[in-house]
Amino acid sequence: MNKSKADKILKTGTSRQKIKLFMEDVALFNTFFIETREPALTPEQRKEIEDLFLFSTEKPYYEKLRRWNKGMLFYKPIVALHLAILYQVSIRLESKAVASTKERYGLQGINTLLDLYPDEKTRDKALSIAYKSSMAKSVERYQENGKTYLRATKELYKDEIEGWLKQAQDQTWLVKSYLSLLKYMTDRKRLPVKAYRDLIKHQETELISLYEKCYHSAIIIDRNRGIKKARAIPPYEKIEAEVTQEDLDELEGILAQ
Amino acid sequence: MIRKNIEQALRQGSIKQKILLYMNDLAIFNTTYDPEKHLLTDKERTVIYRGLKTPQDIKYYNELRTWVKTYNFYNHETRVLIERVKAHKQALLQEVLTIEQNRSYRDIINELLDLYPEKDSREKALALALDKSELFKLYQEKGFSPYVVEDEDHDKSKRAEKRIRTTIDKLEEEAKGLRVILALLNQITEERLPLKPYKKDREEREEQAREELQQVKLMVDYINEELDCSLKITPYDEIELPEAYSVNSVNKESALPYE
Repeated sequence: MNKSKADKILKTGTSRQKIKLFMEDVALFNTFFIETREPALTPEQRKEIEDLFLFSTEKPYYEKLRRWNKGMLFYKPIVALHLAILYQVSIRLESKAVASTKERYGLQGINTLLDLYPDEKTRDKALSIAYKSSMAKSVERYQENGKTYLRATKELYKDEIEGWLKQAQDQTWLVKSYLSLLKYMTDRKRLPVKAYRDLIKHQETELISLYEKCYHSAIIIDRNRGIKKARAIPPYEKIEAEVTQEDLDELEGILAQ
Repeated sequence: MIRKNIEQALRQGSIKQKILLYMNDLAIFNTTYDPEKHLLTDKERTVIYRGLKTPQDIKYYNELRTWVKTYNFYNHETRVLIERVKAHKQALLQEVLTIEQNRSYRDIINELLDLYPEKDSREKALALALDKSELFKLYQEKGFSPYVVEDEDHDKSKRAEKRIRTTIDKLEEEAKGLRVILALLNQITEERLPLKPYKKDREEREEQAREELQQVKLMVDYINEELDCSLKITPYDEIELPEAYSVNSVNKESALPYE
């Protein structure tokens, strides 16, 4: 919110507008971090509004916004925590994608060397050395044009990748569900505060990006394992994360505390 | 706290002692999330709450309540930041494994080179290995055949170094944030909310942050040695705190409804 708009509301706005401005300021504090926050109000202006709503007939309006703010504060860090966990999963997959690409280059180099041996006996010996090396657990022999080469096994990282993708799906579903609840709380009828809405938008963009990144990394790993068919990325939009009655009941319980 | 002492405090303690007992009970829940670990029964809590009569009692209760909210608000941020530090640590671990992997390929390629019976085919193979891998350069000692070694100046190695540097920068940024918030929590538990459960919780989280960064330092030292670079990570206790940090910047609505 720009300063002149805030000043105008303070001078000529209604009590409701002032209370909303107060909550906008609160939300700005809650969505930005310590030194990066840019409050809409000065401490004096904040005090001025506080004094006003203590005796205003609009106090119930303030209490209503305050109540939803409480809900927002309860769920906001949960979303951030689960996003951080998803970020961790995406980093794991991304790192593994880099490692598997390097492994593919390494094996390509070895296979090229194998073709340069003048006799079968030395070639077999070289193949055996390479196979028995530290990578033996991750590579397999295969035949092409009557010759044996090495490649990463299709099973390599399989369980890890599937496990991480499952975790990525679970976290995405969870964060999307919480974001639906935050959208519900910040809709026109409840706490229509821009700073929170911007935060939700920002978090959802981050969520989609991390979710897709996880799958893109898995596709790179698959390709490096010799799996030609790219796995499909389940569309984010199809992840069902509607606000349920159960969610609303839980929210009511929290707000009632 | 022993049950006998609790009952004695409930019977004969001052209202201030009772409020502290109430807040300790709440602190145990807020730091363990275990409803079984409560010090007080629902009835005892209600009795204390209803016993708040004078403005001074209410003021003291409300002050502690505000700091509980503040503690919870910042504590959640530390949990998020620790997860983010862990994520970057994971990325660095993968870089360490990749260095090991490259070394393993280097050894295999050199072993395979020694199998070529003729100098010509060995040289051809060596040239191909250098060309294909893009990770190695030629190395030869006087009187010995040439071999491959890691090429720190190659674009790919430079890219790896840049990637590692970016990861460390991100990690440092998160660690700095973590240090500031833990310092705020320290200030809160020392000056405003002197309750053991919060203090213990904060100390544990601080120890976790310290350990995570210690592990990162070991990885960075390894990477520096292997890639011949000079990356740095600031140990947790050496992260400088900005001059302008204070719990007084906390807005009264900026808290969690846990009490």
